[in-house]
Formats: sequence, C-alpha cells, structure tokens
Amino acid sequence: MSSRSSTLPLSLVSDQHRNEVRGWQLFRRHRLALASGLLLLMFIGIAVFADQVTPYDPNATNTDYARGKPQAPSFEYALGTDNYGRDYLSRTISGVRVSLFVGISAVIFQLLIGVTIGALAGYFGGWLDNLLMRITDIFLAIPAFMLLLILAGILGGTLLALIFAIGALNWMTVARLVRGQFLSLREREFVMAGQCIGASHWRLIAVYILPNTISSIIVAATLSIPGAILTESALSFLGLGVPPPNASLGNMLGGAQQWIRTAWWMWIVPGATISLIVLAFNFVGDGLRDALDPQLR
Amino acid sequence: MRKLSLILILFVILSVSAVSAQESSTLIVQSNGDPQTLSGLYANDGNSLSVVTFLVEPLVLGGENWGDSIEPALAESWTVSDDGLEYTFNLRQGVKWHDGVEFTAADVLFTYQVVLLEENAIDWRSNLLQNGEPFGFEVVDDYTFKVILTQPDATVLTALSIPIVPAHAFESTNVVDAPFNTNPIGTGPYRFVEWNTGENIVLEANADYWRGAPKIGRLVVSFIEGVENSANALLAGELDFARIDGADLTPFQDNPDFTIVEAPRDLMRYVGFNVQSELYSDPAVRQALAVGLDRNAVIDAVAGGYGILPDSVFNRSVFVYEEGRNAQYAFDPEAAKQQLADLGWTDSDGNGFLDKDGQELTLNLAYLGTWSLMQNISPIVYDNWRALGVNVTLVPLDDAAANTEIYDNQNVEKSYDAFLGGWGLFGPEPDHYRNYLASETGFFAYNNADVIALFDEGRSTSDADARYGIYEQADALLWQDLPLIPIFQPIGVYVFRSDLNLEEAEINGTFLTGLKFPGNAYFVES
Repeated sequence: MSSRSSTLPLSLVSDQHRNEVRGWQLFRRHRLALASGLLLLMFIGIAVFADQVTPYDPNATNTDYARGKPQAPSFEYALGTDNYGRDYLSRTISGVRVSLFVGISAVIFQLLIGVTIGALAGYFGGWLDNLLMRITDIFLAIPAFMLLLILAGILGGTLLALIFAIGALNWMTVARLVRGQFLSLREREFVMAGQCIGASHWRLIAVYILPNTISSIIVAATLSIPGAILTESALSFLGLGVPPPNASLGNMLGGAQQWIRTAWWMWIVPGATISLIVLAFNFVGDGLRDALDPQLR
Repeated sequence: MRKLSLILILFVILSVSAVSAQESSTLIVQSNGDPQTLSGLYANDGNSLSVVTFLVEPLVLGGENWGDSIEPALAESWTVSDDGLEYTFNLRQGVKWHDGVEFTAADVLFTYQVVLLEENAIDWRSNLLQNGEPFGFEVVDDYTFKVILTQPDATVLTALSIPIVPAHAFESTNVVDAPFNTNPIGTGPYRFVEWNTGENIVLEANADYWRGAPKIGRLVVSFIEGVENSANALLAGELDFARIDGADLTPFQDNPDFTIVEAPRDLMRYVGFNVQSELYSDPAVRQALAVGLDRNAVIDAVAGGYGILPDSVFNRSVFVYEEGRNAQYAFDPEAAKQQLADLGWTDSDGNGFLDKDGQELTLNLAYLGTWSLMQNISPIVYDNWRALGVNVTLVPLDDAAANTEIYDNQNVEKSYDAFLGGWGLFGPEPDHYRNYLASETGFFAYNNADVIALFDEGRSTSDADARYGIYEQADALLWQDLPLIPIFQPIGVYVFRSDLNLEEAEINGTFLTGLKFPGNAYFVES
C-alpha cells in the first residue's frame, strides 16, 4: 500500500500489470476457486452451445412414454423425463442457459447503475453525494423480494423484464462500495496531478479513478451473480419467471413439488444444478477477492 | 390418600378421553382459500361455494351449483297449471332458520325480489327474466308460493334453484354490503360460527335441520391451496376429507387408513376459440386442431388419468347427453396435418410453421397463469399444435388481465385466438350454457343463428321428448362447429379417513363440495 502513495499515472499502469500477474498466481493457489472456475467455464460452454448439446427439444413432450408420471433416468433419457415426457437433461441445459443469462445480465445491469451512482456520489461529494446515498438508503430499506414479486407481476414474465427487475433492485451494495473507493481515491496524489494538468471531471472519473476500483467491482459482481441466479429461480418457482413452456431451473423445481415423494430426479437435478452454479460463483468470487482485493492481501 | 389420588387420576384420564371423543366429532374439509362472500346470493366462485353449500338451500335442487337432478328441497312438492304458466310450490313446513325464526313463503318472495333488483348485481338475475320481463310471484299463504309466467318456459325449475335467504336478516340493511354476507343465516345442515381469515371457517351442526340433525357436531372448512398440499394435509391428519385428483395418490392406495372414491365432476376443461378471429373462424381449422390435440395425454399428465374424454360440448350431467352419439375427434397428428394441408395451410417458406397466402398460422393461447391446472395443460397443447406447424404462443395472464381479456362476456372483440378455460356446475339443464354457446358476446364470440334458434326453441318447449330432440340437434351442431374443443371432464378423486362414513352423504361430483347431503356424514366408532 505505502509503495503506491507516490505513484504517478504513468507508472500506475505497470504497477497494475504487476498486480494482475500476482493476482493470477494467488488465484491459482486457491484450488477450490480454480476448480470452480473450470466448472463455471463448462456450464457457460453448455449454456452458449445449448442448442447443439441438448439431445432433445426441451419443450417436446413424449406423453406416450411418460403416461402422466415422471420417468426415471434411462439410456434413452439420461436424467429421466418430467410428467409430460420432456427430456429432463435438455430442460436442465436450457435452464442453465436461462439462469446464467439472467444472472450475468442482471449483474451487468446492476453494475451500470451502481457504478454510475457510486462514482458520481463519491467523486463530487457534497449535496449530490447526500442525495444519491439517501436514494440508495431508500432502496436498501425496501424489502427487495416483495417489490420484485410486484415488479415481475406488472412487467410480465419475459427475460428482459426479469433482468430489469433484478438489476434495478440490487445495485445498492455496488454503489456504496464504489462510492467508498472513490472517496479515498479522489484525495490521492495522482488524481491531484491529473487535476493540475487540467483533466476534465469525466476523464478523472473514467481514466484516473475507475480503473483502480475495477478489482473490487469484479469481486462484488462475481459474488452477486449467485444472488441474482437464486432470485431468478425463486421467481420462476413462484411462476413469475421465464414464460412457459420454457424451462428454467426455478420453474423445474416448482414443477417437481408434487413429485417429491416419488421422483427424486425431478427435484435433485435442478436443485443440485442451482447449488453447483451458486457455489461455484461464490468460490470463484472468494478466490478473486483473495487475489485482487488489496485490503485483504 | 393414595387410593384417592389414584381415583382422581383415573377420573382425570377418563374425562380427558371423553373430551377427545367429542373433539373427534369434527369433520375437516378443504377449500382453496378465503371465500369472496358467504351470501348464497352472491356465491358463484369455488371458494365461496365450498362454504355456502353447507349453509343454505334452494327451493329445488338441480340448478347451477346444485346437483345433477331436479329434486325437492325447501319446496316439498310443486304443481304446474295445464297451460304451463303457473307453478305452485308447496313449501316445507316447520323449517327453521339458523337463528330460530321460521321459514315461510315471505322469505322466498324476498329472495327473488332481491335477485331481480338490478342494483344488487346478482348473477342469477337473468334466471328470473322472460323476454326481459321478470316472472310474476305470489305468496298464497305462508307455505304456498306461486310463480306466474307470460309464456311456457321449460327451464323454470332450474332457474328458480337459487339459495333462499331470510327476509328478516335484511330488515335494516341493503343487500350488497349486508352484515349477512360475512355472517350468514341459512336453513342448511350446518350453521356459521366463525371465519378465521386465511385459515378456516368453522361451522356447527344445525340441530333443527329438516332432514335430521347432522351426526357430526362441527365442520371446519380449512383453507389449503392445491391438491399436493391437500394430500400432505390428509396424511398429516389435518384434513379428514378432500378431493385430490392430480396429486400423487401412491400414499393412499392400499392404505387402510384412507378410502378413495371416484366420481365424475360436472366440470369441463376446454380450449375455446375466438370464433370471430381471422384464422380460426373456419370450423374445419378448429376440427383439424381437435384431431391434432392429444387429449388423453392431457388427462394423463394433468389429472393423473382421472378424466373423461368428452364427445360433446355439454357435460355429462346435461339430460340430453348420451355417450357415443357424436363421432369422436380421435388423436391423429398425421390426419390433422393432412386436413390443414387440404385447407391450403402448408409450410411454403420452410420455417417450420404453416402458412397460406403469405400469412403464418399463428395462435395466441391465453390462460389464467395463476391457475395451475391451466399452466399444466398448456405445454401439451403448445407442443401438439407446434408439431402440426401452428406457431403457438402461450400468453399466461394474471387475475386482473384474465378477467378483462378472457372472462368478459360484454364485448365481441377478443384479444386471443384461443384460450384455455374451465366451466361447469351447470346441472342437468342445457339452457345454462346459453350465455356461452348462444351469445355473440360470450367467451367464444360465437354467433350461430341455428344454435341460437335451437336454444330459444328449447326454452319455450315444455314437452320433454320434443326438448330432447331440440337439444340433441344443438349438441350435434355444436360438436360439428366446435367453437370450443372440450379437453376433458375431470373425475373427482375424493380421499377421506376410513372411519368416516359418507354413504348416506352421497359423494357427488356435481356438487362443488363433493357431498350431496353433508349432514348425513358420520364417524364410525372404532
């Protein structure tokens, strides 16, 4: 930390580069995070190529085969079928795609809001800071899930609506984090130097300060993806998520409710998949924090 | 001293067991949630009817919500004048309201007058109109009541089958927001005790009930949403009697603690078309879609096999229904594709969907998204029709949107091409389908002059054989024209504790509660 106090913008870049290399080494030492990262890459690969890897159309029913009851895993259907005879593996894969897409997009959306508000509040301070932070407090005080239920109900069950709703109600932590970083960074010498050579506010925010907050933003983002995924699942479970008949891990769990006693794959498969994705993101987030966050190093 | 305490202890044990014996004389039944009203005049939704049916009675059974045959209830008997214009009802004597006041013809007159007042907005109002004019009513004496018509009407008995309310309960209040609506008084086997919002409604036996005092002292209508939850509640002993078709029945089969009884319900699940829509105004397209819909698969998937494949747009309880009279639209996707191709619908641009003259065969299928049954039916309709090449889009609506967009019988313009719906409890009278099948503003915007003429004729014909012939024609015509594809008529699977005897209570699927004479239920001493 102390070595940085005299750094000027030019040398900052190489300093950052050193940090990145060292960060990667640290991340690699975090075995669990590394394994989780690989698992996530696999899930992301599956999600991206979902149309190519699903053995069946996830919405195609095979009612003669199912005869109204979920059918256990077999050679034909690796993870069994639901009570409509829809291939559970295909539905899980398309559910993973939905979950990841919603989770990641919602977090990107909440970063856009959170970083903007945090940066403006932290950089300008004064009444603007006060105003933006009070707005943040108001949002934090609202029980988000209740509001989400209402929002999802009003906006209807489309993916974009879900992303919007989840993003719009979860940006507060990021905003506070970024504001805190900006508050301390704006007093630093390299920022003053920038001010002296006449850099505009916009340039100071975007070029001088923001890059220094990136690592904490990445950590925060990684750690909030699981929350977004779980929220999506919860909404889908309640029937407010992705529109039917499309699968999402949440509405698969919802559909499994009445088969809990008799068909284990109906709830274990989507449940375990959600847990795996969420855990993996959490471990990767932990690993990234250990590796990147200067405060904890 | 020791002996005395032992005796005391014994005494305590005995008295405790006596108390528990009394408590076991409570029957807990299920309903989905808080009723909208407890007034028999307004109750026309499942949650309200689940309670109100225990509390009140009509003059005659057999109307909407009141079973599958015309039978005397509060009216002991009736006579019809030779010209068919005067119905004289002999009311049952000595019947007491739950508050002890005696039931008389004045209550009957009051009920029908209240229903007729337009400002009260009671659904049954149209029952009591003839060409827009109300029936004439006359109180002859305390136990004789006369209904006078301007022209013969064969549907009078079922039209009059409306729960009777006590005139004295409304002396100082209007009907719309009377205290009665949450604290009702009836003549039924059970009387209202308390309503624990969100939890249950407690009723107790009406000792003066004219069919005989109910043998079970207390009846609790417990609010449990969904058949799976009801099944779990049955297993946990939190319910004594519930209808759980669609749930996993495995835990109840071969289980000596539970008895399972099946009875067809007077309900229909269907796909209704917007007959005025551009693409689906042709009956041939609708027929092709019927052939392309695997309705048995729906029965298997959403009702666990507990459903009857219909061959009429009428439910089985309608007196004119006869199995096998209409040719079945048997599932045959290849034939359906061929029928559509014959009508000019082919996939000329190779995108997987049928088109004709540059127009794609799209279908917006609306349904009430919060109704899990409709949610469960939708994937099969979607997949079956997509396989034919119809570009189906599912449109789940929330309650408010469904009320304005689907369950609206005021407008001819409909926003959907088709919708998933359910109806029923119409009883034996086919005329009760009039608002849907013979009305331009009904759910299907179906305006077939022939059908309307048949319904009008059927109403004014009093000869039973002639009526049968008229409705037989209407049935054939409607099955041919297919403004709706009836998917299945559910079979109720009623599960209850084995020590509960319901033989005399008559499990009957045409009553929403599943019990025709709930007062006759009793627990077998074990």
